[in-house]
Amino acid sequence: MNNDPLSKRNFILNRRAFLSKTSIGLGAAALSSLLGVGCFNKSESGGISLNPSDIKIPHFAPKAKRVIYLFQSGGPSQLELFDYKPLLEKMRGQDLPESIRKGQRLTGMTSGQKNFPLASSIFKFKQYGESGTWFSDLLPYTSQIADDLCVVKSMYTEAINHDPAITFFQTGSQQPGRPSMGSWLSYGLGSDNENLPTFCVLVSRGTGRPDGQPLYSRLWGNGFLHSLHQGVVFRSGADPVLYLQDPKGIDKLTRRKMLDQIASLNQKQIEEFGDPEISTRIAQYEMAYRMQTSVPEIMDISKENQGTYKMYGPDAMVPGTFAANCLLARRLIEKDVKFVQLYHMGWDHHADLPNAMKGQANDVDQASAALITDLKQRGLLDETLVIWGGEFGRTNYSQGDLTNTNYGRDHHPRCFSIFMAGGGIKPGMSYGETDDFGYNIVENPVHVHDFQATLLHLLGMDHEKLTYKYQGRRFRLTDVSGKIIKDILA
Amino acid sequence: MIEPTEILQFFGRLHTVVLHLPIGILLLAFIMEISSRFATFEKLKPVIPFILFVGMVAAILTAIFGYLLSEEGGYEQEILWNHKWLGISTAILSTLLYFFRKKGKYYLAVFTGLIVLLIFTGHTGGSITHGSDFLFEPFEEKIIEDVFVGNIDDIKVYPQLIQPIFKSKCVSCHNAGKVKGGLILTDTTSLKKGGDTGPSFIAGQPANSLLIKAIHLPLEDDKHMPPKGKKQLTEEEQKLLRWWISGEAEFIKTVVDYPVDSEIEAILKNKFVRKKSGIEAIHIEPVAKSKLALMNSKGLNVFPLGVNSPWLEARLSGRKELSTDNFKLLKTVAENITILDLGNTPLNDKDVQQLNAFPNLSKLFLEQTNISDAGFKTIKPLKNLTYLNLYSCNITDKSIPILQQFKNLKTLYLWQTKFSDEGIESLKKEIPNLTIITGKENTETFANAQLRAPQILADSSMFMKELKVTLKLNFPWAKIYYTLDGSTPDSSSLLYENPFAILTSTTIKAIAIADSWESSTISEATFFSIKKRPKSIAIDQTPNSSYKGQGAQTLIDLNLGSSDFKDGKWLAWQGKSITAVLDFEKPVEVSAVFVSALDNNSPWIFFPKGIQVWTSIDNKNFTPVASEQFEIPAAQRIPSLHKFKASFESTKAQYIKVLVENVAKNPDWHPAADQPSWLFLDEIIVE
Repeated sequence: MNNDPLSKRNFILNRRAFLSKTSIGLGAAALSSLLGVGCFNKSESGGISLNPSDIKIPHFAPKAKRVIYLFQSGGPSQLELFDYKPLLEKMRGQDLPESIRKGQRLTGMTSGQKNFPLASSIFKFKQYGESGTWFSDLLPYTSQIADDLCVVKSMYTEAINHDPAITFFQTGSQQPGRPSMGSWLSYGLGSDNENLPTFCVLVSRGTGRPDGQPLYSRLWGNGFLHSLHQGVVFRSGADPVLYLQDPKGIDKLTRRKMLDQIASLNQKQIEEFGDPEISTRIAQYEMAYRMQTSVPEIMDISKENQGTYKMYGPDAMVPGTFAANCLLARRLIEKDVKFVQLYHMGWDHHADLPNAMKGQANDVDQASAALITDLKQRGLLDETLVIWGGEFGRTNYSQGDLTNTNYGRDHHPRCFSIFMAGGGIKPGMSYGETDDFGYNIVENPVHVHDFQATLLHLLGMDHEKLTYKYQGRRFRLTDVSGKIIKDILA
Repeated sequence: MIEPTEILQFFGRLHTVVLHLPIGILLLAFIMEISSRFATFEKLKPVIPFILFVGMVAAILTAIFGYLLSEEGGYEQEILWNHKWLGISTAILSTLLYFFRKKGKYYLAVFTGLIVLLIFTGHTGGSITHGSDFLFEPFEEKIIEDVFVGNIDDIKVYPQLIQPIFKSKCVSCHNAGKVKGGLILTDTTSLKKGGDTGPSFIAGQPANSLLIKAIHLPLEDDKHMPPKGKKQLTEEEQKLLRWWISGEAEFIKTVVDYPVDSEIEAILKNKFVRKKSGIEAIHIEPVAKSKLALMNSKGLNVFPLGVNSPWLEARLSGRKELSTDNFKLLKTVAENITILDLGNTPLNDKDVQQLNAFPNLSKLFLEQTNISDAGFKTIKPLKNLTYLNLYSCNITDKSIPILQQFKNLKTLYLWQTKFSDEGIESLKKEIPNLTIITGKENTETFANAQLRAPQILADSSMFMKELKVTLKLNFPWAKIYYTLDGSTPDSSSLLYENPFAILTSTTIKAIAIADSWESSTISEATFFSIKKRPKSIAIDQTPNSSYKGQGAQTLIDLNLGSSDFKDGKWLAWQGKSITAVLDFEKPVEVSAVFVSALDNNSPWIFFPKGIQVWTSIDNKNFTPVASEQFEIPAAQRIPSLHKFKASFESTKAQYIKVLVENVAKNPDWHPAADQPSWLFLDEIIVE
């Protein structure tokens, strides 16, 4: 071993890797297992193999192979979209009774408010489909496919502000640092297409509130999992994946040679230190090289026909919109990408809710319905789970003044609605009930961890077995809770 | 080469063999120890330490191998934990026993303890492999469950529905041997008689029946049954129990004698009428992992559905070619393959007959392949097939006779095929539970279609010499027409083909037009040719410190702000109007002033109420040349950017003074009415 301080330092940094590499003797095997590296190159979940395209076998036969998560960031109001409450119309303007609120904590935005005037939806509700599912007229397209959807009206969460709530939904913990749902799936199930990332992310801004809450890239971060499980963002515009294209003047052959050279240097490092992150790096370089061909293919929508645009709507013609992202999501799913996460921002409507909701609903309604319909006619919905929803709901009382045409709603974690379709979900049903005020859940509550457990179950994974040992503890997406919601499974 | 981890794995698996040694040897040592205390076997004494030693070594080895095996995973954590620590304790205790055998007066007691420990270790180990109820299963009463009885009405209510509940949840404490609360639930007479507090139920009155009360009390209540910590009744069981009591609550009748509502019917159906069907009913041996690995190394993609499933999925979708070798390899595991994905491959009519080698297919993907009726004809009926995807295949009504034979088919995908409506109807009649997805209904749902307006793209909205403008719409079937003179574009306007350059200030309007689509709305953008830039600018009011950009200069830097007012390109003032004086250094010809502003009402930002313009040669005497007033909104507007224009007769001036009037106070309708509103400006342009 070299004696210069730098390589010594490196060696110290890679102490764990070194120990795991030399863990041939029994004592070292036990030690390495204490240090978090499984001694059969396998963890309890079935693998930490470094090649993302390695086939990993789910715990049991899955109902869904892939997920498209249409995340509606900001907290869309369930009371204007799914959860119809006639009582609010009758009691409009009256104060929310304390017997209902029961001391629920409020955000700083309404805690100073003197009264809490109950606000009914100014949008009309109707039942749709054979299932008779309720939708407001903000969703003229989604309501047409009511019989394909399962609307869960009894979601609840623990966080009351955006960032902790989204982080909680995506990683199972309100504190940042845990792997995102897509990363867990990548870790547990591996990849079905070695030319594309297992976990792709598409972000769009809403027209309802264009200056709404920002998103942090750690929402699609890999946490303590290997970095090749992190989500890759596809952007609209000339450079869909940043830093992917060769610089001007570098041709394919030069790039290839360069990568081979780097790989051989990295290989030497692996032999010396055995740090798994080095192999990750090699794998990522190779993936990026293959993506130089596969990504332009995905983004090239010139082969889509006119019918596609009629379905997804004219917005699909404008890159970067939610509709265009829905179309891309379908194209990624067709290429066997495991988890496509869309984020549509701008659902945080503290004031001017009616106008903002109109804009937001207009952004997403047709495209969401089109995506589900398109997957269905291609036979993909059978194995693809589509999820639509935000991080929490909104209050049944108005934030600020309630007028005949205008009001706002504050954050509400105690109940909200999401919907799911496809991949082993029972179609044409509503699950769970809230009280007549739309404030508390009275039937079949679904905690965020329950939702996550159900999602993993649909993908063939036992949420209690999909673990990763880190800093002496086995971590799960569902932390220490979560039960599968059997009633919504097909 | 054999990896060290593989060696460890090998030893781990040896655990299942080696574990028998300590059980046998330590037990033998114990028997010899006991026997040696009798005169007949006294001569055994000297060999006992040796046998104990061998037993100790075996116990230690077994514990180590067991630990290695547990690292492989896949075991139930709780019971594994018990087994692991019991095993380690056995190893330690046998070691202690061996080394301290001469000293302890408790030798025999410890030895007995070791044997007890050994038995428990063995038992937990057995439970891991065979299931926790394996050993005692023969003694358990057989419960008739999950067996199809033909007709729900024939189910015997008490013996088949109610008694099993008592047996699984109650009788462990309420039996003749252990009579908690004086209640015995093992026979019908005692059940009727009830316990110390009275009869256990009153037929027809569930609410007054102690049984029902007990299960509905809060979990914390001492009278709640089964007690906290014991296995509780499921919701289904609670409902059944209540249903039985609200009926006759007797012991011999069948379901037909009880009133059955939909809820109970659903429970009964779920419990009894779940006949295994399709591939579930087929028993098949799994394929060795090594064989799969070998196949996959040869370019296939075959994997089990789940860790313990014998069924395989073969996914070849999206391949540019399918070789006969692929099929040959697949056929070696043909019986196990239940999902076969050949979608989007060059599969042709000749290849189709290869499919006949796979008898157990439940899902078959053939979409976007080259097969036609001619090839499809050669398929033999797949009786377990539930999913068949033929979308975008050249298949017509001629294939209906074949499809009709797929009796278990649940979903059939026929989008973009040439089936007639009648053909589809006849198919639906033949196969009762079939859903056919043709995609036809979707054209109605998504009938309304207006083109989106083209995007007008350029590097900047202001330029010195010339500017390249691109019109863009991601929709190859539309034509884009545009005008440069501010007139409304239509199909007789300029047709856009390639990016073009503009040299002077121009307003571009563009429209997208396509057959069978409603024409788009008109998009519009104005680009400013800046011939002369002002040398400097002075403003009478200092902008708010949070929005001060690069100072007053920001308003003439030819750099526009975005809709994000925090982007540093905006200057802002709260509640105040501002006056700016632009200095061109020497007199220039001027004819209009544009003030670029932002409107975003939620955070109190409003467009200006008006602008006034003066010109001057000497910065002392200013001549008013233009004054424009704009509307104050009557309701909240969608956030936007706009350039407000004040034009006047062309005149020569070196100094231009511009007054931009702030709305000053949020309008009455605003949630924060009367509060000082914001004025946001990013540029003042002089033409």
